Amino acid sequence: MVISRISAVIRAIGFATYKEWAAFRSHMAASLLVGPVLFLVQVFIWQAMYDGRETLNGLSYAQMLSYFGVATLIHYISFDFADWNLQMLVRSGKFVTFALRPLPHWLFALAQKLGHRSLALYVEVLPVMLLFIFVFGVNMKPAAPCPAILSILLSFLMNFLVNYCVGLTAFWLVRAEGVRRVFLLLKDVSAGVFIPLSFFPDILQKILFFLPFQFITYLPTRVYIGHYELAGMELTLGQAVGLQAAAVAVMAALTLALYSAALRRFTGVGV
Amino acid sequence: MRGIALCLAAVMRTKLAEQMAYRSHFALSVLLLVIGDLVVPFVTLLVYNAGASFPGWTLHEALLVQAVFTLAKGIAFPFFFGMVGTTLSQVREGTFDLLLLRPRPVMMMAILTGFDPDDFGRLISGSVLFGVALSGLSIPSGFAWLQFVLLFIASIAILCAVSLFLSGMLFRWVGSSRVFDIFDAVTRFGMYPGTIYSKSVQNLLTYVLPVGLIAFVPATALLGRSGWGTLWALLPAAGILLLGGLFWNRMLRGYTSAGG
Amino acid sequence: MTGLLKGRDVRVKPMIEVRNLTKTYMTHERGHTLREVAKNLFHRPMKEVKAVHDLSFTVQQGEMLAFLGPNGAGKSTTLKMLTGVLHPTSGEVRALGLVPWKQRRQYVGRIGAVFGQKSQLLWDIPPADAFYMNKAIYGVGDREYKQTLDELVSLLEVGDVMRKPTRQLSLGERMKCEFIMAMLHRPELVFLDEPTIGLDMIAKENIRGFIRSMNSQGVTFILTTHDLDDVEMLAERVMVINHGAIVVDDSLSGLRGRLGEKKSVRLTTETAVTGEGLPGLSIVERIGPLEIAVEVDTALLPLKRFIREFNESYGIIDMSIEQLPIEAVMKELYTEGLSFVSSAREPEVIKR
Repeated sequence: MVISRISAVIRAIGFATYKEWAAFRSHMAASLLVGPVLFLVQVFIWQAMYDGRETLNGLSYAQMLSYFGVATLIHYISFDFADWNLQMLVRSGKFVTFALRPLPHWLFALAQKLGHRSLALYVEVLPVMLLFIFVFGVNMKPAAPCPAILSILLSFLMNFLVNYCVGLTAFWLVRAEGVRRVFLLLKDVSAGVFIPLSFFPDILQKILFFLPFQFITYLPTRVYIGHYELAGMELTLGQAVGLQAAAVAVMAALTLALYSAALRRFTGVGV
Repeated sequence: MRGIALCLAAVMRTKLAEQMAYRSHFALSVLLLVIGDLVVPFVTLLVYNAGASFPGWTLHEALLVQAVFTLAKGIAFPFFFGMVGTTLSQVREGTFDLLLLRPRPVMMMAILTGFDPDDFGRLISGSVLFGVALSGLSIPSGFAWLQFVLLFIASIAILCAVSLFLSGMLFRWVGSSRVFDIFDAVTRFGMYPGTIYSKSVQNLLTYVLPVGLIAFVPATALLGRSGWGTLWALLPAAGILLLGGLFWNRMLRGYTSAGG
Repeated sequence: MTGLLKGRDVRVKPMIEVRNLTKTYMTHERGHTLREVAKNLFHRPMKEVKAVHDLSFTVQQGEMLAFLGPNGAGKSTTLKMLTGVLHPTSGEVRALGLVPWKQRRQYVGRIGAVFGQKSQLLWDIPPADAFYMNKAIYGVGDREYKQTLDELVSLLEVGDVMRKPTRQLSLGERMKCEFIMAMLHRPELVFLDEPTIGLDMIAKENIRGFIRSMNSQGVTFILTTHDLDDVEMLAERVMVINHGAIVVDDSLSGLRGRLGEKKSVRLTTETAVTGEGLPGLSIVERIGPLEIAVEVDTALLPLKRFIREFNESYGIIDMSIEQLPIEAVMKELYTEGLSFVSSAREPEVIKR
């Protein structure tokens, strides 16, 4: 009963967001240029880097391209800006309209993300994937479909939770847009968007292993390709996804705790 | 001409005053820019540490390309690139009309209001990178420096032209922050030694879409690897700047006649 | 502000001459259902919208003209074309002897504009700094700048206010500074788009007083507003625009005259009023069992007869009689606007 009501709410919010975004689909479709162009640069870089060698950091040339191809797609699937949206609501005082609704804002935001990502699925993800496969000849076949899909879904949640927590800081730090942007940039670096984390110095790898960021890009990409290792640890696909699920659960608990603290502050201090 | 100089001075003064109203914010955004600029060099460093390299380029030589790129941004961005952001928000919010109410050329007003002192922060990251890169290289000759300076001017002209193209697009493509992603994607080619691209792509990047001129060509000159012939590259730079200006004005006309 | 041109023969040459001004633009139609939305992804049907249709009028030096009309009637579009920001689809405008959108730079150097909803001030720094920037942009000389600024500052009583960061100012103080910003280069013609929106009564009074005093010095004002008090206290001439066309171009008193001889009457009676019965009488609202508001058309029902008959039938305890408010005229014009046939005071100007 409750579940069906919530799912109806999520569907309604998701559909409204979908329509909102459909009007701006050309903005989304810019990814059809941006994604392949950035990928083309990667192709040239790695072609040069692999000149006269079979593997680099344990990855073959084909695997390296798969890494960036898959990482790009996961980036589009799990992309959101919940942080920006939330801090804008807090700073402009519009958050109060959400505090008055019988629905926690995080659920609203998650429903919104579901809405615009389902549009992205065929405006961004599918066309870019086809380009990668047929134009660049990248191997985009998941090593094992089930863990890959599960891992991408968890990445979707993880990225949302991390961004949402960043947004929640707006309840305490009103003018800290700069800090948040620094943080998000470091998030991308630590997630393995720019280069596989296995390239990092050992000590950094050990630290990154325990931070939530690798679960957004690095781990799901590695699971997709079929082989996970970081900080000298090799996990089977099942173990990797299990670890990711546990991390998402911990992050979700953290987010909920931070959310209720933020609400207490909102109602108490009236940010 | 004097009027324009006075305008520029007045705008710079107010922009600095605006920044000083939020000093901590200013410091943070400079920090952000520095960190952002260092990501690609950091990745390059990691790859070289893993034992790979761009064939024919030492780490310091590769970093020199990225250093020149950052320095060019450090000069072109405060003056020109800010207009992309201001056109984005002003056209969306309808306040761009206010610029049309000023008795000055609209392009000049758009560039002036976009003046962004934060971006001078890139000169910090650029200089650090430049220093690191040069520390591992033999000292360039005076001839190389001269070539470099001339080509560096071309580099700034190209970044200015790109700003005009992106800003112009925003009259039609209202409110799309994706132009920044497009900029990053297209100019990404310019952050690496041009020799890694196939010959046809290299030509494309020098003469058609001259992003290779932003950093690769000036850096090569500084490394003493090119002759006077390289200075032909100034032509496409001037060409694209002219095109950028024409495009911007054309899009502005579209805006004022369609508008609403 | 020094040029006192009021006494001049205004018939010589109008300050603004608008002929057959038309603006149409294309817009997308958007679907609502899932199927329509999905279809719209690939094809969006276009629709032509006539924002302004065939406007013609003139404005003389020193006039104060108000554009009125419901939201989306075409007021803003007209204002944008008159300021040279927007090109019309067809038609002509000559203002200050120039074509606004063709000789834009020359033209905008001589006009001023205040938009109630678009601030020209810079949020984080004091207005004084923004004024200084405009001085450079408009190329105002040092001495002239100082003199004008002093004059405006004392007239609007902003003194210290302009040295505080804009974000710390009240809306009223901010609006005063917006006016200074717009008047620093001594424009001959000033456009105001909802200049008093959101202001409290005192701030509104200040702003209106300022506009009146500038107008008495010969500055021509054209304003759009939804605040009918603005119109009553400022405008000599009112132009009602609806559906992109001029519905009425008249003086304020002329506009009132259109109501006929109607009065608004509020009554408390001894027994409840049962029906209308009388010709020329309509019940507007029943406020309580014994209290009622009615409208009396005195052409059909003289007041004397109305009072006598009501007193005999229901027994009048208390009563107030007022002119119908200007709102009543506006409501009528906005809702069925086009049925009103214009009787502009300068008929030769309006060529249909």
